[in-house]
Amino acid sequence: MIKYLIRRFLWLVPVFFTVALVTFVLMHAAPGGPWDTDPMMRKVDPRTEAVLNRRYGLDKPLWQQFLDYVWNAAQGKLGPSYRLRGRQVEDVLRERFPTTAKLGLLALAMAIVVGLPLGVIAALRQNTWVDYFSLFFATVGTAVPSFVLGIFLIIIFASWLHWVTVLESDWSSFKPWILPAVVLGVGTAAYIARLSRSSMLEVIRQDYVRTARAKGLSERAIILQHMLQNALIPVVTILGPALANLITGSFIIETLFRVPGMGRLYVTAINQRDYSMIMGTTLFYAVIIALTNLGVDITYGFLDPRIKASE
Amino acid sequence: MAVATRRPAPGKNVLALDFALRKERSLWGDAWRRLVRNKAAVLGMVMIVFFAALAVFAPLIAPHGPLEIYSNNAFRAPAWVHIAGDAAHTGDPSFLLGTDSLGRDVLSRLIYGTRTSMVVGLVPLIPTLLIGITVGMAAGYIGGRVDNLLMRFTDVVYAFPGLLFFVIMMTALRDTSFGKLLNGLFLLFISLSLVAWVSVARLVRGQVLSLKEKEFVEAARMIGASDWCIMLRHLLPNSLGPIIVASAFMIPGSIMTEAILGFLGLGLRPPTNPRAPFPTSWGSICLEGYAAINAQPWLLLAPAICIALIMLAFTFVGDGLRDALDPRMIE
Repeated sequence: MIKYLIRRFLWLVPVFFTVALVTFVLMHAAPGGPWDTDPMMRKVDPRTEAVLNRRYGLDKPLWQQFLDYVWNAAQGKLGPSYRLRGRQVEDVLRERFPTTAKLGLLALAMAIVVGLPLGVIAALRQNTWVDYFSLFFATVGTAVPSFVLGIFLIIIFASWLHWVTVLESDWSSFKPWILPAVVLGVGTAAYIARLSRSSMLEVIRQDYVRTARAKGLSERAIILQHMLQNALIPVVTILGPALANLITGSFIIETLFRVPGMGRLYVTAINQRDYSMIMGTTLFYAVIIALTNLGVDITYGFLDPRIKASE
Repeated sequence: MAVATRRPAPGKNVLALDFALRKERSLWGDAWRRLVRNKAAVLGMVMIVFFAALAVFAPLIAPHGPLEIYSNNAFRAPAWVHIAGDAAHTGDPSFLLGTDSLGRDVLSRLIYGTRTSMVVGLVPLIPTLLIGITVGMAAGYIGGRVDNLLMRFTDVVYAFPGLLFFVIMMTALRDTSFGKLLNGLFLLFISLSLVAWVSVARLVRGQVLSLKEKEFVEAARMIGASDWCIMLRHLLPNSLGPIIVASAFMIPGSIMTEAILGFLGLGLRPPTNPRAPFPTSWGSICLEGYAAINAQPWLLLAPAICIALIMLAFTFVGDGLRDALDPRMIE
């Protein structure tokens, strides 16, 4: 088991290296340097450009720039932002990440609170209207992209009903978080509903449920102690990747609702061609995803002895 | 002996053999029958045909040119909205869904946007399937180093969030001469295929790994079938079902990616040629509509509805195909 863990962990190194390399190469394939991307601004004069290049280490050969970047990134230093003067990318990320994490956690909480009961009740009342509604919700929730749903809700609640404002600036109260969290979480809620329904349906037909019923346990005890405990295992294992997905996938929702999180920072960095910011954010996203995937593999390794044996 | 099993000549003793000549029911025929019995899937297919017709016959259907600017008609409300005392913005029957910030007809732009969504959904499938099936087949059948390489490569691709990769590709290469081909559609096709082929390869690899141990493959090998023959005649047709299902779900994925990129301002480039076949996309219209959300909400609402409908349509068909092609699902 330990050996397997170490191997999985070491494998992350080339993964991150490749992600960094691809991003780096693409950023440098873009036409124009980092200082002349805005056609509206006047051209930077060559002497200033030389000074800027020296300061940001852009006068070195490309391969050295890349190795320097990777070496620094490994120590958590992602370099200065090209657009936010005097700010380090890692500081900006540290500042913005809590907002995105909060949004992701709220969305996940919403997804569990809505998805789980819907799936469980649908399975207990199979082929009733609850079940059909849950299936309908699961299909529509996974098929309709969250940003389209966000557009619908913005138009309904902001344009027509005026319950919220589109240009929210005060994020200290709870109210502005509701819509973005709901929109971000719907896809996950649908997935959880579908997953918990199918895993409950599987459990319901198990022998130990029949045994519990035969020995006269109350229906409540059967559902809570025998069914749910077993049916929830697959749901619990997807929560980690689901949260990672919510965090890395929130940039479109953050843009739509103008949430001041990491995702909106990323979109702004893209529009401004802030290359160090784009690279830093991408790497950070990749780390989140890789670590959650690793976490899931480890949990599976503990839960299912067969995986250990095969590795 | 062969003579004994031959069918009788026409008109000769046919009546007696009628029961034996019952129409043959193939595996695919059965799947098709299951598919058309699924109401949601049929509804999805009807919607797809409708959108496809819009895309193909856009110039005949659209009431106005997608890039045609009607001055003094900016931000006109939809035809059914009547704003008293505001002749410039009140609904006008010739602009059914109103106009945008430049005075272009929203409905016509939507109809032309259908084209973009359709090609973005369908065209990247071709390279994706070609590369994915080839590599997956090779990895599964040959195994060893090829297989190892593929699996390591998929690890990297899976760690790189797809949407982020598309965003970076579009940001970096959009302004190159390569990124300008077909208003940027070509770059989008390449980016989408670069990511998607990996999941196809993994899928095919898994299929081939389980199929190649089956008796019928062994039998084929026994009678001297070549590797090529086994791969193309036995392994490929037998893994076609899951490939079709995966493709059906890849189409809405691509359409959604394009819409998101368009909304981020990274989608199609505005065409310079007024007769460009792909003048706009639903995602780009969403972006324009988002900027004008208070002036003309329909500019945002209409493309969002279109995206939702086409996503639902392809998902219904995908779900239907999955149920139809997997007989184990039927209880």
